[in-house]
Amino acid sequence: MSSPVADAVLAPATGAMILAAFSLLWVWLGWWFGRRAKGLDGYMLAGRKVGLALGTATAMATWVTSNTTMAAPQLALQMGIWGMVGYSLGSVGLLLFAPLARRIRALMPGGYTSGDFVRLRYGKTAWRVFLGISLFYGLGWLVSLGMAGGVLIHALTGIDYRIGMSVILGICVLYTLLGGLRAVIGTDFIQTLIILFGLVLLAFLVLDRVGVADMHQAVLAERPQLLNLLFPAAIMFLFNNLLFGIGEIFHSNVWWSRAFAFREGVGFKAYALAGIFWTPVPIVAGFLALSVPALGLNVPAGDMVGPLVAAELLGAGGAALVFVLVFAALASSLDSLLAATSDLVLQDIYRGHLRPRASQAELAKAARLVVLGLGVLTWLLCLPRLTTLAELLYFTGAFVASTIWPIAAGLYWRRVNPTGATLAMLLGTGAGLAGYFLIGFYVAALISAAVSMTVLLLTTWLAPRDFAWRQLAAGQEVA
Amino acid sequence: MTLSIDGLTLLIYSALALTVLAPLVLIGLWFKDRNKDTLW
Repeated sequence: MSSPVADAVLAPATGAMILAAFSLLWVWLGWWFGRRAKGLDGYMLAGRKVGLALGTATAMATWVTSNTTMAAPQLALQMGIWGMVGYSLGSVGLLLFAPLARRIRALMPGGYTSGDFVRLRYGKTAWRVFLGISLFYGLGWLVSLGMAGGVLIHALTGIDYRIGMSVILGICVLYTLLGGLRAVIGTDFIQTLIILFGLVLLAFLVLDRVGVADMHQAVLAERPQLLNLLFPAAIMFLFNNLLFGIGEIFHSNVWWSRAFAFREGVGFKAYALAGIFWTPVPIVAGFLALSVPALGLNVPAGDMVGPLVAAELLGAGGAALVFVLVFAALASSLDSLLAATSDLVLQDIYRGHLRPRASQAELAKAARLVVLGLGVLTWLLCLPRLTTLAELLYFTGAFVASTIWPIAAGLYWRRVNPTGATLAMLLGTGAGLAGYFLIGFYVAALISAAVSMTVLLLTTWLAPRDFAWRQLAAGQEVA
Repeated sequence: MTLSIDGLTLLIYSALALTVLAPLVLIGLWFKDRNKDTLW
């Protein structure tokens, strides 16, 4: 007897065929895009000549994770309108990073990582604290994406968790290894188009089959709280998500490496456009869930809403479409994170701490070994499928939100002093963690950002220091 | 306070319009930029 969940799941053989076909496509494209990469700049930063189309697409694709496509409908089903609108406010981080990207490119035209900036702006103590936060977050996000890959492939096709996780991770490692950031950015462009066209197709089908009037009527009759504009838990989620997103983007090398890689004059426009075009994605993915009451679907697991609705409307073709879409969303984030975290390890740990005099050739060789090593480490951490690790990302909110003010103020305000920035990160993280354990995950980022800001303002007021911006450009080559 | 049917329609259709526009703009920008983008 067929059930809605069984219809939403592809046969393992079909799933394996789609997985194999797209894996080959990504690896071939990765090799093709990366074939002209020359030297360390070519491999790590795509030659610093990325244009507006590819720049916008890579920022969008990286921020559209498997969570955006799978968790947005779940949030809409749990928190209603504010769930999906709150999720879409994740775009504020991209929009606010637009002026920062322009400033970063202007101040450090030869920079490599966000770690470079913190080291040159605040000195070695702040740099090491920042590296601790950033690497912890980077690895946490990598592991959660690797695990999400295995879990989703299993849920959508029945393929074993370990096989699915190994394939998605292996594919991303392979094409990042072959083509560096050029491969990542090139594949991101294609993946963005797949995600957007897939979502639009699903949305049109829902509107054609159900329509807004029936959807509204059914939700109002069965789950009226989903249309409630004064849903307190959802409004709190909205603010925490906003700050978490800003913290993630401001500090992470994923976004800094792109600011360095974009051609001059591209950074601001690329991030602003990516922010504008990313905003509706969680709403389009999320509103599919509002059709559940009208379609009369029984949803046993929240994160299966998208596949269930697609299978109801399109049958096996819908399940295949969702699988391709989720695969593209996963790969586009996983490859970016892999490349950017590897850059941070290479530039700030290997070159910064172990081999300061390493030649460009040695670094180019080490870059590939770091990608491979990071891939293996992520695979090992994903292997036991510890569900607690999936919650690691909520936990990192306390860490990343403490970097918002040291980064933003450090880029624009000469008077911020290194001790203040270090204390802001340490005390902000400490307070955020206390909030996480004593109150709940939804206040961790909020408290961390508030304490960090207070410490930064207070220490700058008590002990202002002059900083010469030219030091950033002058020191970026020397670790 | 409940979101009206007009509010829901506006939210969904404006989000959808922007999502339709995004790939068209990306392809247009790529076409305009294709000789300058060193990846291709």
